[in-house]
Amino acid sequence: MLFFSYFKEIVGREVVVELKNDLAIRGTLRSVDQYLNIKLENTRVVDQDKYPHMLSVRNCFIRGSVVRYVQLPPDGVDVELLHDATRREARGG
Amino acid sequence: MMKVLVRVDLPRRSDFHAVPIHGSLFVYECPFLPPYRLSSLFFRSISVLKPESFPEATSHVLEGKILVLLRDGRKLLGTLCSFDQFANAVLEGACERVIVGDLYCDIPLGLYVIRGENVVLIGELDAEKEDLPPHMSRVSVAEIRKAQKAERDASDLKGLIRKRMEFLDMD
Repeated sequence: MLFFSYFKEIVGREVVVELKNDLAIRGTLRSVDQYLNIKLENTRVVDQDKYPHMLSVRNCFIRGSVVRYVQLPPDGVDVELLHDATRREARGG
Repeated sequence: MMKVLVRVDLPRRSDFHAVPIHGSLFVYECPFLPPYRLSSLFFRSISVLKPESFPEATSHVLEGKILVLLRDGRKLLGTLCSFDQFANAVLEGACERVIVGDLYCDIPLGLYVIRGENVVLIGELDAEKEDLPPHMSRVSVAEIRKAQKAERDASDLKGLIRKRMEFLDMD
């Protein structure tokens, strides 16, 4: 739930989503749900030449289970806050 | 009572035909099994055909063409009829886009029900933008199959050569 809340906070920022099939997509985070399914706007595939079929895709939905990494905006993480929140979660409060 | 023939694409690549009866029960007409009812597992993905269960978030896409990437690397194009939180999707007028090098082909498939676990990504296709880069050319099904086979043979050969050379311990 913590990361769901976190992702909800960075809606509207630009992220790069790396998938388990090595496809990497840059785009503006439009929405996220409890499964960490992600919707991106204004998407660009990082390696455009290798994936020509993605050329005309501008908005997309990515299933949470196929995501390997999400590269966050550098100033998008409040490490202190995330630390506190994870500790609180670990204590079960 | 409407009988519609749908095709259920399973992970193991066996294609079934299903006939919806009473809008809720589905019976497979399958080449290697006697007709039987759809399990509740699949039933969930079919029940979203009811328009009121469309999630609001995707309803604006339901008109346009979409691209679905599957986990096995296949690319399906079609009109999104329905969709749910598991990413189960129903595609109308689906076709598979096979790309080999600079050649491509759209193989028509009809109505497709895709089980969510196989979905990697669902993308909206921009109607104004060109589908594919201009240097790619469209070929017939037979030609693309030939190209696919050539590519597969080439990669098999590469694997074979590599295997034979293993004693050299190139790493």
